[in-house]
Amino acid sequence: MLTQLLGHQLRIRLEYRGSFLFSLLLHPLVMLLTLWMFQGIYSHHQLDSLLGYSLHQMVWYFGASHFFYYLVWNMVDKNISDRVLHGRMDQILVRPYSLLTWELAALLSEKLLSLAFELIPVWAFFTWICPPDFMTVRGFCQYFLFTGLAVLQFFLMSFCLGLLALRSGDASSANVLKFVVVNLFAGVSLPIVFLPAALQQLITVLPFHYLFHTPVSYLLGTAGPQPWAAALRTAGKQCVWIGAFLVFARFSYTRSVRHFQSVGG
Amino acid sequence: MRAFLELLCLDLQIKLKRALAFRRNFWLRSSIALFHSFIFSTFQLLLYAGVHGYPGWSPEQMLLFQATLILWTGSVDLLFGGLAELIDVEVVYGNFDRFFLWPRSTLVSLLSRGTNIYALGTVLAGLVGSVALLLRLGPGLSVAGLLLCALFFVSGVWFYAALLVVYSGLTLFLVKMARLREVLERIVFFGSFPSDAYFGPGKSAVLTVLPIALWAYWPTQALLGRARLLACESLALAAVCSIAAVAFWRRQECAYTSAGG
Repeated sequence: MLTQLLGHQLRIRLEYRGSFLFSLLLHPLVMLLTLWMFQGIYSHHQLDSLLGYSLHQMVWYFGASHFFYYLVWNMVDKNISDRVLHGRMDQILVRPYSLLTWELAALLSEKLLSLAFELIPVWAFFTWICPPDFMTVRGFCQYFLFTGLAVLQFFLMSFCLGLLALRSGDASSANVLKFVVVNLFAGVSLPIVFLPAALQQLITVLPFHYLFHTPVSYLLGTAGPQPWAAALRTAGKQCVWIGAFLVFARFSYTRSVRHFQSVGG
Repeated sequence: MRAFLELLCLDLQIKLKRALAFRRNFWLRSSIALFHSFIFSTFQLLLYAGVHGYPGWSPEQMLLFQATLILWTGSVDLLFGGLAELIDVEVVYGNFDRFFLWPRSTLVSLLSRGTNIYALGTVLAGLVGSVALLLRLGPGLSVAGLLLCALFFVSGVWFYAALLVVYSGLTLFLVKMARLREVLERIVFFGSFPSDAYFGPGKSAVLTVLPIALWAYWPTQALLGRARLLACESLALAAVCSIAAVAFWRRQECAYTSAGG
């Protein structure tokens, strides 16, 4: 099924290659504006490092938020909610796959293509504009390990939110809530080090930092040179969260699907 | 213009009725939108404090900047927050043809149907915040400053609408917009910093080439009595961009080929 979905997604991308190429061309502009903004701040205050981030690390932090949207961010909850709202849920429920399997396969095929066609060219653009002199091979590999786990974790979180639509009919508020929570607790809109100490402590207890902050701190090397043993321990903790979300997703699905009432399409 | 405003109000009414069909979701989503605005502003202030301030901006002035920004983002979200999704869905599913059958021009029909009722709370919060901070500014405020602020604000909304017109025109041509909407959102993000924070070419870019300074920077500067002649360049470029955007839309409209629906 994954191969078929991959082929399907690939055909869609090739069909709409114009928009894809156009958005690729606009990314250097975004990176340049980020670079100019922080260059202005660093040069005005004559700083070499700001809260542990060099200029290039800071620019890459904000640049990496694009990688988050390519590889981790998903619209699974919105897809489920829209299907319920527009009467298209029935066809999914009669397929020989569970909703969870179908959505995961669709997501993985999309993300694999994003990795090949979006992340690599944009990464090359970013490297050309702002050379990542801080990056190590180990940090690079650890980033992808954590990002892979983050894809699974975020998928399960979104799936649980989407299931609310089976009960309430419209779960678009969950989609907005997800956006706010991820921006706040995962560090997507601002490095966590800028937040008050109490909030930083709260964030380390919650599972959201595994989605963006942790992978990026390994990529940028801001957490210091992390040996593989320490990285694997962190990955183990993230796996525990993933397991908990998986159990909750399965439990919620069996409970929520009983509340679903088809109204046709 | 009158027809546009009437259609806009009608769309807001319909969206409100539809949203109230799911009352709990409506209140929850409005509250989250409001909360998000506050969080976003708090983040901006934390960034401001973290980077030891932006050149020429005191903490109190930054608060006014943030209140103006909330009012601006709330306003454009209320008026055009659903437009990008509307044009995407209409074109992808082949429903765009019906826009040609409606009594008003396609551009008026399109721009008046992209409202987002959930942003109402954000507009109110921005208004309250701006008025409170203006009262605090007190004697420093002049009528000319207020009028200039209103002019920049409206021009900023106008320029944002022009960007959306370009986006919509591109959708007619490209059909599926992929990441272009994210790029548009990222451009809005760059408007949420005072232009003085940018370095060399970046400052020229946000003031003139892509005058996003009109969104919050120039209105706040006008309120602080610091509007400069350079603002006229931003205004002129916004006007040129708007004319070019409408011309681009007309061209795309003529080249549009229906794929059925």
